[in-house]
Amino acid sequence: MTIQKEVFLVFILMFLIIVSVFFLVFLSSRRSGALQNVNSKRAIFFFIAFGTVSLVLGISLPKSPYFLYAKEAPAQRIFVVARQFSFTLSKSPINSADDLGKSAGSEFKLPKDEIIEFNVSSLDVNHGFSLYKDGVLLAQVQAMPGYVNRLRWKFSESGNYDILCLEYCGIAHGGMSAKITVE
Amino acid sequence: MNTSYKKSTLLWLITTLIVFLVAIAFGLTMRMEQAEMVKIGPLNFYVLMTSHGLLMAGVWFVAGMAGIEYILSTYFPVPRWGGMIAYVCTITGVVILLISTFLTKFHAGWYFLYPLPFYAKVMESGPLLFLVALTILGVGWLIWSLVLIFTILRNFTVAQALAWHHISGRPGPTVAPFILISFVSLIGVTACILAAVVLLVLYYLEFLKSGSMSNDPLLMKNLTFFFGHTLVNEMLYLGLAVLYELFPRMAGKPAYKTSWYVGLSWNATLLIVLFAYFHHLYMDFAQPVAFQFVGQIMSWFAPLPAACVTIFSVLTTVYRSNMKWSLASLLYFFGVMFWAIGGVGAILDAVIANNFVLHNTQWVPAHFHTYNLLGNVFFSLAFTSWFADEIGNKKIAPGLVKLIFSLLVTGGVGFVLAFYLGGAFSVPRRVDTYNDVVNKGVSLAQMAVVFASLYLVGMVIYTFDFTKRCARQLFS
Ligand code: HEM
Ligand SMILES: [Cu+2]
Ligand SMILES: [Cu+2]
Repeated sequence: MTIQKEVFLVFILMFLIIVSVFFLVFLSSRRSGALQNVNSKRAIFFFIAFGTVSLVLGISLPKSPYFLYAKEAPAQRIFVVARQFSFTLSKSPINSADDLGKSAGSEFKLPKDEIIEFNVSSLDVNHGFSLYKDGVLLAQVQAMPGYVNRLRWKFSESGNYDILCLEYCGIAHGGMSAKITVE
Repeated sequence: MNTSYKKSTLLWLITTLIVFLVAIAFGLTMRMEQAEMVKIGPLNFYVLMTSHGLLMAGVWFVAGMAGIEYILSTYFPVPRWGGMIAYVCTITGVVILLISTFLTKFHAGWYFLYPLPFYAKVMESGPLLFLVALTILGVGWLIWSLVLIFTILRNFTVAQALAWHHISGRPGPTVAPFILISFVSLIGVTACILAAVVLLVLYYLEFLKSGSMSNDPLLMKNLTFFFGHTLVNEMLYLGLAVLYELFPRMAGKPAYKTSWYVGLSWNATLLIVLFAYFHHLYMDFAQPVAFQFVGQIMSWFAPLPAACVTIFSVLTTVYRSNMKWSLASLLYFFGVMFWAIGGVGAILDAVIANNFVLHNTQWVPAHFHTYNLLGNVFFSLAFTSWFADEIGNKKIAPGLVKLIFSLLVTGGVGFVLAFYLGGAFSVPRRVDTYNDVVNKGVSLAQMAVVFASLYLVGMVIYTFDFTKRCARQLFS
């Protein structure tokens, strides 16, 4: 199951819990007789909420994508430059529009099971660099002019990957894409 | 109560309802384009998107402010000119804004991320008109917010308005939760309008130079979201301040008191809210990791004080209360429920590891539409309904209450569910037509069109009934 579907299921579960609580309280409003020991119930409510938040933070922060393969050396550096409305991928750095000729165009081949470091930037506005496999979003990073964002990724499956622009960048944003083949 | 306060509040509310209907129609048209039911083209789509986002953010912000001003005027005399300047600025600003989007086709999105405004234009005058519109709105709202802050400060010291004596248990004047929450929110509002001013000045300077890019994109992005995120958050709190005042009355319970924990939690909220915006920059790996962590920690702690206290208070107020429900109390109670649900959607996305695959997918409009469409809008409609009962000479028909409420809830839930599913299926946000990679977006858009139409019908009936019952008061 993909991460986003897991998140969706957790969300639906929480949705049902919250709706049930509110609905039960709503139904109870037909009767009278106020709640006893409000203070201690409030304390328990807070204690549970505080505990959950701390637990989630402790577990999830170390999983942040900034640390992906951070301790290993990447096998390859791929330089990605976005501009309205296309991506250019290259094995050598691209610093300006003049360097774009050196690139291999928007169709690109990469090896499987190796750590690739994508060095992502933009020549005009903000864009988003994302990796899709069979319509599932696997990873992304912003492409910001004047900055290089480094994303490390290991392709565990061979086949075709789609790169879509994920930051609104103007009129043809929806059509801004490229392809990678992994083998 | 002075009738001129009532008239100006009524004017704000009617204006809000009408602009809301127009903005919903824009949103519905966007969804129809994504559903491939109409064909308006990308430029018109993004023109609508820019107009829709700003109109919605603006209209529910002013509705919140109008509610605050009205309730505040039941405590102390409030100078009238603040609201009047704000009204004139709002109308002028919105007209110029719509000229910049519809006539000069400016389409950089509601938060106009730098440097897109210099690119997303069709005519040279587009970005300038847009900046002028925002400046007028910003100035009007800043004045309004300062007038309300000083009204509170004419009656309390800063420490009192922040309820510090209630927290420490020292003697002092009673400060109602409404005053505390309004004060906290107005300070937040002022802070984010000031950030917007800095942002606009930087834009004007670059516009004058009209050469190459002269600002730092990462700094500009931080400023943009400090302003955008904070504004949208504070606008919810404005609605909550009024809820704290009116909801216990509707339930026939004694007024809420500012106990030490209510005081403490809103003071904490004042601070925490200012740091949560970092979650908008998670996917900018160039941003220092420490900021990213602060973003996730603050986003997760943000709901603890204010949301938990509010949810708990509302639930205990209703529990076995034997209360008589009205449209206003239903909207408040279930508005809090949907606010909590939207909050769950928000904090799930605020986990950096989840954001890696949810950022800029439809999960984002999913969660913020939940706590706007079904939360904040419900709070403001609750105030509107309560207000209509105060001033109108006829009450709303009970059958109409059921009809309106079920249309808004069914329509709203179905509409946001299509967005959540879009997030689960990796459908990107802000795309006019879906390509083959993400073509699930099309059928989800069709589903959304059906539900959004139900919501729109509910709002049309509501607006019609409200106007019919109250409009006469405007001219009496
Ligand atoms: C039934 C009512 C509504 C409909 C049909 C609607 C529809 C839409 C649609 C289709 C989008 C573009 C989604 C995308 O990124 O693909 C959107 C974006 C947005 N909506 Fe709504 N919406 C509604 C209510 C609201 C409300 C109540 C608010 C706020 C109070 C709101 C605020 C926004 C904002 C801020 C955006 C982002 C615009 C941008 O990305 O620049 N909307 N809405
Ligand atoms: Cu792009
Ligand atoms: Cu784009």
